[in-house]
Amino acid sequence: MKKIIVIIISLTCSSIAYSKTLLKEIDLKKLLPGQKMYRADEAFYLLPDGSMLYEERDNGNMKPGLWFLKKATFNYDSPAPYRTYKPTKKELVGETVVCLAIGVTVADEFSWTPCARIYQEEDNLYLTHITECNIGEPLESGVIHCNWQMRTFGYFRLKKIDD
Amino acid sequence: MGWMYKFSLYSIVLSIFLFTVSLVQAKNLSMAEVQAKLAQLRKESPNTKCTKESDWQACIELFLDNDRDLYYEQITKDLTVEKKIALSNYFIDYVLNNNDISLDDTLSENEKRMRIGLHREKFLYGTLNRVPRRLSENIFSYNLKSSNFLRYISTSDISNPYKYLRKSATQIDDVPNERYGRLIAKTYYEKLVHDISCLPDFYDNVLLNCGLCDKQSYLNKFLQLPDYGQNINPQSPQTSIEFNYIFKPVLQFGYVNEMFSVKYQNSIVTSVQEIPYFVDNVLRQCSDCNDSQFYVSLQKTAGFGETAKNFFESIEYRYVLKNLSPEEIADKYLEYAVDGRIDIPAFYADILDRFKTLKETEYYSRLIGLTDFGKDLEWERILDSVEYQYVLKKLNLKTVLTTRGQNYNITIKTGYSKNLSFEFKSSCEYAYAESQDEELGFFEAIFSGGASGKRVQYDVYNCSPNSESLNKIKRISSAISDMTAYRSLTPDGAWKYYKATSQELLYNSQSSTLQAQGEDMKNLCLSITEYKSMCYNIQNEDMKNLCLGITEYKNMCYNIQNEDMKNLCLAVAQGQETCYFIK
Repeated sequence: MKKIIVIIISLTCSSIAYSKTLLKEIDLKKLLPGQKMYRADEAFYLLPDGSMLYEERDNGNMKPGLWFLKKATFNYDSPAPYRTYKPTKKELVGETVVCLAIGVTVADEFSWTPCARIYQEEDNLYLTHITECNIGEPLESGVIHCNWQMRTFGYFRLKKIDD
Repeated sequence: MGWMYKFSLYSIVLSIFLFTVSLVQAKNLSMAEVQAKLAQLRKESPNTKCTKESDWQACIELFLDNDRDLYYEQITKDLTVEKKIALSNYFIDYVLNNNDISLDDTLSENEKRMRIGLHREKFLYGTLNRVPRRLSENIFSYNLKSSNFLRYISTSDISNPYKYLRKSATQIDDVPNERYGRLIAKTYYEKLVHDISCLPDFYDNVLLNCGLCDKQSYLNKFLQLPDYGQNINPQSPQTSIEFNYIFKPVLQFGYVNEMFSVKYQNSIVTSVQEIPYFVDNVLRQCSDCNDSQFYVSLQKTAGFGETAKNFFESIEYRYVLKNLSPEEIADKYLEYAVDGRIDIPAFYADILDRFKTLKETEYYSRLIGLTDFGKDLEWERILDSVEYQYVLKKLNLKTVLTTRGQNYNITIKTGYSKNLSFEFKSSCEYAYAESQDEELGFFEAIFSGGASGKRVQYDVYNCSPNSESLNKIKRISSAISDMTAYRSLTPDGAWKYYKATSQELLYNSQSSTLQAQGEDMKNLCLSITEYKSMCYNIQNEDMKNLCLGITEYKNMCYNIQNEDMKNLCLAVAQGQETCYFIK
């Protein structure tokens, strides 16, 4: 019993420790191209050219899409809509998010799209904070605004797409 | 033991989960498979179908699923105009036919407003037929979302149709090729301009501000309004709506043509006073007018000529008649400026002396026909009269003398419709009394109570002209170079004057003399006319009496169809007055 409790605590602590490891732009650029990012019901095939194949794993449906990196605001307590929110100087620099636009083939087709901050949990397991970001109307610094108050969480694994 | 059982249960569930995951993971696609699948999906994507295959449903999906205004323009930038129009039409129909779109939370505010706007347009126009037409006329640049038109019609605070249409029609186009003003003006006109009274508002607030509108076309339309011209005050036509909102603008914009000129003349030229403005401003601008036709029709203007006594200073002459031929001008001068003989000298000075091509002889008839020509003219002063100096002395005059009761007349025959007659007094002395039996006239017979004739008593006078009159006749006759009348006098100039003093009716017992006398006279009459069968139906006495009494059968009695023949009959029958009552 003690052993189990120790294992649980250590797993939790390690998780917390990993969760604080936000992947930076340089990490994401190395990590994501050519990878399959998946969880139980869906998978994202992230091609090096920025295109994406989205798969609904429970029924096999597939849609085209785009993926790309953006600098985004990161204040989780900022109000929405963003027009009334004044980001700090630090926020104007932004932090990198991965945007996943499903069902589109050209960038002009959308403005608000889901983007994620990615934390590494263990090996190929990653925790994502996902919310809608406004691609079409970036702030003056070029940073896009994300409505983090509406964020959701999800675990994904990464696996290289076989040649 | 229970703990062990629970642990085993968790282990089983975990095993099943891991097994399932391993099964799913077994479906990994290779890079080649992913790329092939992506290529296939792209080919089937709405974007490809819309932009490459003109699949409008796909375009609609793309358009409605995003909130970027520029998207529509981007996905259609390579489409032909025809395809853009088709896409726009499809889109409009789609929006209007899918009521659930307004409930769709994914629609942007712009899209929702546009949908409201389209519905409002449909409500106002009553039909959607206009929408494709609007598109086909390049009304907007095919960017529905950013069009001024939709921006205006989707503005919620503009709820009044008048206000909305007016504002839309007068907006300043800020996008190339946007021409909403023109179309909205057209719609405003079709929906809100019902009669002439609507014109001021439409003209001032819509048409004048619609830079792209075809104003000439509208002005022509105004002429077709149902109550056009019905409320123009003839006393002040230039205060009418028609003048101020149709004709004045047409003149201002230089759209004058023959059709317009005719309309103007018929509607606004209600009096002679309106003619100068018409000639100076309308006819002068008219590019295809036949001026001579207008100069003819202008003469039918109410009151034309009534104030043209001062002929050459009159509006009639200065604006209309001066354009006519000398012959026509002379005719109009006689009509408007010559009231009587006093105006004859002016006619010669103003017309005949001015227009040398005119033949004086052509106007004698008109001048002699003047009402007061020769009226109250004294025989002694005839040579100094206007009539003689300007007309009579140039004619070949004939004089005829006739007795008339106690007096006698000299008639100057002009050869035209009017002759001049002068009466001279004479001296008469009673000679004797005489009675004569005569037939009854038609009405006398009716009211005579069966009388068969009448006996008339006459006083007979011997008359002759006095010497003073004879001298006058001789002097004037010689002056006018015709002594016919003078020479026709008897050597002593005498004649008998029968003056009826009384009469009495005769009945059968008394009428034998008359009958015998009448029969003789009748036989005399009949015998001396070799044309009797052509003059009267004398074979039938009843018919003759009928003819003489009832004129509706006169064609059966006299050959009056031939006037000469009738005259001949009368002429050869001496004593005609007593033979037949044919007068």
